[in-house]
Amino acid sequence: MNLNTDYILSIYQNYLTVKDSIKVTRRSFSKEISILHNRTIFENLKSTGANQMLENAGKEFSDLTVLALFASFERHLRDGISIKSSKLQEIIPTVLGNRINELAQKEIERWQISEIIELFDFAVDGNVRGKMKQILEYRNWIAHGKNPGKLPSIRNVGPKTTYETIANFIDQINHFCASQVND
Amino acid sequence: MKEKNLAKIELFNKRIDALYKQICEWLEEENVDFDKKESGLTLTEAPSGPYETKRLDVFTKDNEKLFSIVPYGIWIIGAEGRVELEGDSGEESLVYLSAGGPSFIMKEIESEKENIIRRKFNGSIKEGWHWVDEQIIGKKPLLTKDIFFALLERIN
Repeated sequence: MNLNTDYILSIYQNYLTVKDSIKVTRRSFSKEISILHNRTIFENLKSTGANQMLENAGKEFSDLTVLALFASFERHLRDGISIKSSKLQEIIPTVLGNRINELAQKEIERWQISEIIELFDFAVDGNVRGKMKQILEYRNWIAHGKNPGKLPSIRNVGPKTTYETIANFIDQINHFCASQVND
Repeated sequence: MKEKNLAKIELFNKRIDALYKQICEWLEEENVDFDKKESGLTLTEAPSGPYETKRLDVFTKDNEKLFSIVPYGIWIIGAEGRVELEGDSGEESLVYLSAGGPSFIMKEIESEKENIIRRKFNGSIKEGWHWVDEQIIGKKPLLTKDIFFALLERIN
């Protein structure tokens, strides 16, 4: 099972691009370069109002990036397991193998992601698995409308922590798989 | 509120006080003429419920905002608290890390060379406030005077 991190790297790079774009826009207000705001939603806005808008947008985008990183990680993990499970097709008789495989593929989509995370306890240390579950809790909180009455036990998980934790999780799986091949 | 959480909040506020004091000392060392204002702030987190802390706002003598430090939370993944350093154009996060090794360790370190490189690269974590460098290969260096002044440029 070889998982790559290109897909999360791309999401994270997009986050950094937007973060700096917000910074540049905020600077255009503090330097009073109002010509840059022509025919945009910032036209005729005062610096204070625009800054508040941009700050809010930055926070929202940060949460959406956590959501996108986790969703993408989850998809790749399920796909990786799905490919591994296709070995079931080799069961004889083939017709039975194919049906078992079809059922298994559908079932993998229903597995709880927290259980999938634990599936990798042979390769990924408890610290990283624990962090992944905390990110999952935060991700669920965002995805379910950020209920202020039901805060996650860990709040303000940023894109950097999410990116690093996912990358580390994948690194540890790949490291383990490589060591099995070498043995 | 549970005693354990009260102790955490007290410790977080002590660490924030020390951070504010340190930053003001750095500004004085660099002969920055500034005014400061500390004000109360209520944060709410799931383990504790609402609790009191305080923010720091620093202004130039012309009353132009230089930066603010706003507490964000105590229960943070991989850290013992986080504050935001805010300026006119953006924010940077500072987290409190306890002494110890890097937070991410591969299960097996294959060679002494790898061990040295990894330790050198990740650093042996020194207790205190660290800057979360959001760049892809960015780490979490200990907040020093040089880093602080570089961050002021980034957020303004």
